[in-house]
Amino acid sequence: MALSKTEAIVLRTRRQGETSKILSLYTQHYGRISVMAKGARSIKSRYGGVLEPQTHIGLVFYRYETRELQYLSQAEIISPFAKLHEQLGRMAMAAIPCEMVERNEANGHVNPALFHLLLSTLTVIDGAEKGYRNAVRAFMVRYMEHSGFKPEFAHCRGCGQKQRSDGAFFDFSKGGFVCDACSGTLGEGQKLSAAVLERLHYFLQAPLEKSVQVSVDAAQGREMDRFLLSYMQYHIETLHHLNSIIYLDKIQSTLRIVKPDEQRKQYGDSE
Amino acid sequence: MRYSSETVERAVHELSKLPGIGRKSAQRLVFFLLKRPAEDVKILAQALLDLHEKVKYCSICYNITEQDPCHICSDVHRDQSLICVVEEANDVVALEKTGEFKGLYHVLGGAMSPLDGIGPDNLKMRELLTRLTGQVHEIILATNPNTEGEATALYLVKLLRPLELKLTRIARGIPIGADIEYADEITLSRAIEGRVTL
Repeated sequence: MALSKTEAIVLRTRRQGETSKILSLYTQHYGRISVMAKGARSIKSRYGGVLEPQTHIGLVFYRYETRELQYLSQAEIISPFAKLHEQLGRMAMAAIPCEMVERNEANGHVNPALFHLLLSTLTVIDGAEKGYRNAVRAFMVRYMEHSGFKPEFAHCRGCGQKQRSDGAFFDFSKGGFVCDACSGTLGEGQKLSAAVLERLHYFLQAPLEKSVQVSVDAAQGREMDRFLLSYMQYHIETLHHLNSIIYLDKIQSTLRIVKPDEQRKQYGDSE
Repeated sequence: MRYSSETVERAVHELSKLPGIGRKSAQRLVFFLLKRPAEDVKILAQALLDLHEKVKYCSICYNITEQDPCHICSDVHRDQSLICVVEEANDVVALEKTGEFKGLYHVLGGAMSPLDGIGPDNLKMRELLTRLTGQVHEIILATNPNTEGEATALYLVKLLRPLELKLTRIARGIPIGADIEYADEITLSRAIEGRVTL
């Protein structure tokens, strides 16, 4: 047992017993770990709001190499991501990268680059005036790169030819688009427009904070989101049916109704 | 089978399904019950059976009750223009203990949680909207001051704001008896935001 110090993003919390919490954290130096925070839910807990999901914290914990569950000693906030916690849309968006990391990263698998990617994504979702959905898209593309499935959007996987102006078919098994000449044996995939291929390529290359400046219209957004989810799910089984995406769809569909009469109809009178 | 009696084994197995109770604790409870007079054990068993037979949800506020509507909803002396929205029935018990609140309640049955896939459809939100007739003037959002509770409150604000009711949120900040020195930034900033004029 050793006292260890690191930075972490709180991915998720679960209630434990009367007043404790079990935290799922993605740490800079130890990868994903589970930590017991004794008494964290008590009204006079010294942790207060430190251990809430989607918060960047510094922590000291008792590290037992042979155990799955570690014990928290101290924690303090580094970035509270205040705006992210005050707006429903930002909060729902930030839950997507957190859930992906929580579901797919094995306990103790260390990847400091992924920690920084997650931290940058939450920072952009918290700070951007608009376009923060693109930060989540950029995270997804880069997460596939981190997981060994880097997609190729600029050149044909078969012959290396540059993409054409009318778009191309993205073959999931090949991890990239294929031009007409190389499309003899097409696997599972999706036809992508040139605009979407261009934007996805940009998300993969450009600094993450620049992703929010890219204009994406509604049709391109739908095409991109459908592609990203299908591509991730094709290669990574644990990313099937992400709860955070189902949740985002639910709140978006119900909040589109703004008129009181229609609200009552939607929620009450229709039954 | 670990025990000489199949009945003991079954009791240990069933008790170990309870939260926070492992096999060892279940075994301790079973041996404790074996030493108790038969009448005491019967009373306990009957109390457990009654939980499912007699206790139900109030059809108005979704609090747990034995009569429908519950005693709070059917109390004509309570302020019918005020509804306090809480996550769980336990929260009603805590608020009632204060003796300060004289309005009605609405129990959502949980809080929105993106990672658990709990959205508005999984909570009693449409039931809250159907209650908002002309006589309700204020909704107090008393969900927990954590990420899930805040998300639920934010969603309710978006949903209820067009109805032009008075929407309030319970105060958040430093608990009585605590030291400011040890409070975290989020709690302190909420306490300053929610300061009151004296």
